[in-house]
Amino acid sequence: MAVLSGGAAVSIYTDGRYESSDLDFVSSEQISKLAAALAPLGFTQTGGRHFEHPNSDYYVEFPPGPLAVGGLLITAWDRLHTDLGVIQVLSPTQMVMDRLAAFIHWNDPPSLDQAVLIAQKQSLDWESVEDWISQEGGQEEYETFRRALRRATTD
Amino acid sequence: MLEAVLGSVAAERTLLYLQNYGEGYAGSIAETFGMSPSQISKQLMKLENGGVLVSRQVGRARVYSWNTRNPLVKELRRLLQVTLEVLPEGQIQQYYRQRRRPRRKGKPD
Repeated sequence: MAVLSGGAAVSIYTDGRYESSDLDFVSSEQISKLAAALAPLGFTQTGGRHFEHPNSDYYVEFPPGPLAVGGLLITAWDRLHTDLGVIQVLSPTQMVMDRLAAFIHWNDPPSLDQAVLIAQKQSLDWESVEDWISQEGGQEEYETFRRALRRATTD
Repeated sequence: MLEAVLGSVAAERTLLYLQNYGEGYAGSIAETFGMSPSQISKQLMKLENGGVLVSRQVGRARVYSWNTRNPLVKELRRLLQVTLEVLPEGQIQQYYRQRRRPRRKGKPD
């Protein structure tokens, strides 16, 4: 099992307004098994849990589990049906929480912008976001996010 | 506007940087704004002596962050946050959007 998270998920939920060249699939699977599955497709392991393909500009990585946003363990996520198959991916709400966690804990301003972009483009389960914030801490950062979203929406 | 209140561009930029990123050291702040490290260092020391900031040594750098035990710091940060939020978008992107999320060693940039 591998669940897409990180910049690529942001890219999907913002219709490409945010661009990423990383495909981060969170997976607890052993790296040797992942490498064996990817080798026939032409991917080579370029160190750690990263893989590259000669015909692709995208890097594939398999960060180890557990799958979590901040302190919240994730046990259910979205499934995107595409022409090439099903992608398991964090939901827009989970991705907003993920970016807010980076803003709260690492003071990462680009993550704030990405959370705003997702919230502009997708409908979110706001009650879950607010429950999560009350557990995670970071009420001030959350208010900064809400103000930034209001400004972005009125621009 | 804060420049007029604080008396110098270096003080304004130092405080806005710290509000935005939470912490910083003279070299990184100076590099962000294209200013001299000694100018920024002077401001950081002044703010530490005034009880606004605290510092700790990390490797070869002295890292400054907010003195959360000073009750006035919270009010100062509120003012700085409002100032940050009304800066022109160009300035925001140029100075205040550096990545702070960790990036695993070996991952391509």
